[in-house]
Amino acid sequence: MNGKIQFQVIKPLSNLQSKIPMTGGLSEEDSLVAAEEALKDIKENFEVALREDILKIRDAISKAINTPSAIEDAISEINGISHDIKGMAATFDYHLLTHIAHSLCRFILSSKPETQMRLTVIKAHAKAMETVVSHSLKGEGGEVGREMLDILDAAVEKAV
Amino acid sequence: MSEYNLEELNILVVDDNRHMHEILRAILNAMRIKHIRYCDDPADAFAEMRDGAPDIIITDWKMDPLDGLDFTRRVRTAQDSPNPYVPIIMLTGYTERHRICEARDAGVNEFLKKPIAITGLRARIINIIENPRVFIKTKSYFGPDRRRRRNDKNYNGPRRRADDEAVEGVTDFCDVAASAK
Repeated sequence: MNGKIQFQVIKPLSNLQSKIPMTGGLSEEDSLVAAEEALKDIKENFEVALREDILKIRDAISKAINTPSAIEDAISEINGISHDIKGMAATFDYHLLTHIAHSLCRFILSSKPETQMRLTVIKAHAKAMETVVSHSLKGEGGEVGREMLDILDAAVEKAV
Repeated sequence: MSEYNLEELNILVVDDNRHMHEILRAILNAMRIKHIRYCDDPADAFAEMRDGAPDIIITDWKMDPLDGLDFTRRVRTAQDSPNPYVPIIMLTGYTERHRICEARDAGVNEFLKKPIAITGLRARIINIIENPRVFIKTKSYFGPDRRRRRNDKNYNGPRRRADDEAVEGVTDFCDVAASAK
């Protein structure tokens, strides 16, 4: 054995450079401006969807509390919804919401069924997200946002 | 950066989140990309690929039961894949380095973390156009060359393959991820 890896190099036939003209389109700056305007138009739809997602999280928490046998499914559902919120919120200037959702996903993935106060920490995150959405706290949320994140960090540290 | 006219580009979006379809539609339309097909189940994506012949696929990672990684592997290696060479951009909320390496090894061309940065998405589309990659086939991998080229004439690093022409300044995908925020 000589240790060399056998490999084949293949050059695909299709070439987008022959299909897409280099000029006649928008510059990066113009594309950014146009996209930001377009996102403003759908911001309202997103905010409606966000409120629905927060309600789904609240329902899942109730299910986890009231039906212990369904707790893992409920937490998995919360993780899925939070993952989606994390991936979209900052697009509409809800950066604080993205951070909270990220913290929640990270906690859920790192915690175990026997982790103390697991549901308490999840509820705290859900409450924080609800507050951000109901008060339309945009950007990083300033001092209030910072305090929220500190409280959640402390709760996570205590539980894990 | 050039002012590419992207009007003739065909894009397939594979994501189970309908809100992400709206976001991507807004951003891609703003770039004047109009030919966009949407698929919320990777299991149906091959049919969309046969109908629409996309130039680029933008896929989410976290989907169920077939996720973006499985979908990418299928595109690259399934016998019935309509186009194993189609460029794939993976959009995802996962940011850990090991995830990026996983996506690279599944055969994605570009990786973009969510929330989507508009300029980031545009840059990756332009990069796919400007820097088409050869495909590499080994026993364990089939997909775009996983190295990124950099024109560094001073690079004196080791050759990874005996007849490697892309030696100078090759940067591993994961090194790019490590230096990104």
